[in-house]
Amino acid sequence: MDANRPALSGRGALLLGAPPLLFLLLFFAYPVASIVGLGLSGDTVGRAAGILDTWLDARTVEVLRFTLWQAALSTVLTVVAALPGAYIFARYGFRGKRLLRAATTVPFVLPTVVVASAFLALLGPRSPLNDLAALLGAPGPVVRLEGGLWAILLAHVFYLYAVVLRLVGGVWSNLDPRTEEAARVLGATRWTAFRQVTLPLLWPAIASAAAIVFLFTFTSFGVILLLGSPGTATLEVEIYRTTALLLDLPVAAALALLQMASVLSLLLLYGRLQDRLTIEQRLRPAADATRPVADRGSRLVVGATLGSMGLLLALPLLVLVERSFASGDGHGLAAYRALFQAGGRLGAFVPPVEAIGNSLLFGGLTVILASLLGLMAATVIAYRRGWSSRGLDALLMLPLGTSAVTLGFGFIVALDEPPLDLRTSPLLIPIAHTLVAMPFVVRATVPLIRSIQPRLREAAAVLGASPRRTWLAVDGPVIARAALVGGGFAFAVSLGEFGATLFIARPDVPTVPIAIFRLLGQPGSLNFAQAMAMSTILMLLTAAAVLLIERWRGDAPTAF
Amino acid sequence: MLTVEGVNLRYGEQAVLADIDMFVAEGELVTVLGPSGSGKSSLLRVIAGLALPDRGRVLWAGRDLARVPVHERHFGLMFQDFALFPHRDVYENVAFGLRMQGADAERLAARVAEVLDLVGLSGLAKRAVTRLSGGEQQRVALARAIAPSPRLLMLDEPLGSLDRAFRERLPLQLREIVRAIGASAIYVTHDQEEALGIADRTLILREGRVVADAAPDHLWAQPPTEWVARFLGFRNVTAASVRSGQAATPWGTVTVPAAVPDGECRLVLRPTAFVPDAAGEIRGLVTARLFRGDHVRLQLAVESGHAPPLEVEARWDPLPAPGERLTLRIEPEGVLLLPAGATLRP
Repeated sequence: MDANRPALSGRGALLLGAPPLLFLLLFFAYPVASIVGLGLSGDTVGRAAGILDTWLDARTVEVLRFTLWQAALSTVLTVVAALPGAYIFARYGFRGKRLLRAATTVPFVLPTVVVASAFLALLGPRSPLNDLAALLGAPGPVVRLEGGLWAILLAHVFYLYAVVLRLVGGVWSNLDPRTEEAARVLGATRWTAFRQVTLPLLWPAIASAAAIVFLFTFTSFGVILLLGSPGTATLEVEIYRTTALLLDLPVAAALALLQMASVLSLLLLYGRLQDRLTIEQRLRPAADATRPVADRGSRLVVGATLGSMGLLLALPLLVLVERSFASGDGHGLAAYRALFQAGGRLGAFVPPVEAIGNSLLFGGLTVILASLLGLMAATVIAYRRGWSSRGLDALLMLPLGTSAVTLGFGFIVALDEPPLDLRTSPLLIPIAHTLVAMPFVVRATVPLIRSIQPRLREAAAVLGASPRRTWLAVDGPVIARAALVGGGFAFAVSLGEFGATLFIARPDVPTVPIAIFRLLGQPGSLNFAQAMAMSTILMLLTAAAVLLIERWRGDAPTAF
Repeated sequence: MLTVEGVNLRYGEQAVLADIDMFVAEGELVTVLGPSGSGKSSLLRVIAGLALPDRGRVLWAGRDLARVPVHERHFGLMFQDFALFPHRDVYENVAFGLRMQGADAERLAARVAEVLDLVGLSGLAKRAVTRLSGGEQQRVALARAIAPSPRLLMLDEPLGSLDRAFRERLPLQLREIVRAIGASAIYVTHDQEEALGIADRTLILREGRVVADAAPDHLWAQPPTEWVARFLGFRNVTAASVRSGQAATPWGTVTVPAAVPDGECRLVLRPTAFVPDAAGEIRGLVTARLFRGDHVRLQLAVESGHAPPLEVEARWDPLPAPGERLTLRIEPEGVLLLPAGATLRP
């Protein structure tokens, strides 16, 4: 018997592994198969649209071109914007650094709808910058970036900044600064030393951060839908429009297949990149690599970097909150009050505030479903070794590699008719959210469970505890904590999920992101302010969930 | 050729270097010795230009280097733990400085081969530096530092992370290599034997200040302060009162040179000063014994009063066992008097 792991028998693993597998089969594999079937079958609406015709259509080529182009631009911009931040976090010690580093992660965990709202507030026609300009006597609005590429790029940089900061900054702070100093002493200028020594050593981290940013922006949906114009469509947006506006399911299926194929190739490429770029090097603790901000030069560098960081990361959120209180000429709670009034504009059915109740309910159901299934899978993965464990792990990650829009689209084409008609089931949304959340739950809990010291089990056994008592005393508390952490992730994911929900939410049961989307689609300053108010509420809810996760998680290792 | 004048360096609130004065002549090998945290590495960083002093100057051949950036100083620095470029092989590590000088391909290849030969690594040019042993990495670091023929070579704890066998063999090799390239050199270490063993001159640092600057044999013969004496390894240090050539110590009365004036002073008994002699002035009980091959080191509890234990080093046959009583005589040349005022900083 393996002394390091408590025996989880093959039969136990099967029993625990079966429910998550079945869930995946039913709600992931089946919808994906339906998309493939629909995409390949072609003609259903009297149009001879074979899959290749769709792929080679001028419109598709244009969409693909734009998708790649904006993703590439976003990636370059994000890396360039975040490198100075990564540098000062890696090389300087200053007060409030930990807090600041935690704060930079906030945009990344915000729902994309909130990100889009914030940039609409900052750069849209109702921007306070325009109010300010008018006050100063400008003839017309000075910023009107919405609808253009710039707003999209800025929003992407905003919420993916933390990816580069964390990944590159982490490696950078572990690089021995003396390696660069050695180059300087040997006659290299500052720039040459950076280019020839530091940059090559950072390259793997930059490449992998860039790959992640590219993947995120390639599948960007909410930001583009809300900030872009009809001319700016990524594949994700195009799938949605083809489905919801044109009702052309076969073409949408062909596009979804194109999307799946692209994402899959990107992931494979990323894997290859990772293998090729690894440079063996001794990593050192970060402690002795930082220096204080003592002289004028470093004060300037650190100050300018932190200033621009604040401008990029904090300003949009501050403006978002400010706009939620703006009503008419002054500030007040009008928008928040309007959220409670029935006969509001949400499809004329429900007061917007009901969306909050819906989101909380769906969130709760997702927590139950995702932690239950996720923990079952995590237990198998953590306790067993070999192909069954690795295989389950890989299978569970698949939905993460599939875009949210594809998942939602799959639900529409697969689950709306017998044998599996869930169209009216209140469980449909929690099921979709569970699919998205489960990989997070598993990633967060497996390391926790694996971190249990085998010594503890041995100590308990030596002290006379039976295997059952040992499990209860040693593994039980850790798994309970893992369940809390996993549940927190599931809740946060469910709160913010937009792409899939947009396809499957019923008009009379919107979630908060859907409500925001609809409010933004309607004219009038009160609707806009209400959207901002809802976004503010969603931001606070998400922040609360993330804070709780951090608390529960403590210092335990995770995959994030 | 190198002059350091009144250099002060602060790191936040803490003074790292205080009023450092230092001189290294052409071709001279100066060792800088001090406990960890005494500012040795910081001194090298200031000389290299990696840290700017808050006050004071660094000069080369009389020229102030304040405005000369790191990469134009033509100094070589071998870092503690070597700081090799992990993404380059041995050859490229060694060639880096020559490339920065813009050496042409022919000269570059010749010089790298020459230097690798000098440090005995000719066969490993194409090896990844991460696949080398500690001793090999150390030699790559040395080769990298000397390849561009620096006018001053600085070595920061070059033997720091190596095992004992290397530590004993390498100082001599290092000295030969430094001689061979004809550069001035500064060698930083916390190890007394290493520092005194190879130096033309030794500087001792304590809390960022120079507390001794002399040739190793002079330093050994007359440590300037009690702290330096203790740092060099002398443990038999005590207060004594001198009256007409006789010093009263807790261990007994000791003869001192007649020139020593009467009064209170600090006195050191070298561990090698003791000779077994039934008529000797010191009697004690062996409390511990450390066999060192060619000699033996004893700890001796002296019978008179509350004297601290004595450390005694000598050849004995047969070896005295713990619990045995010994009577010893002190050779006059083993008695060392510390100058007045030397006790102010215990």
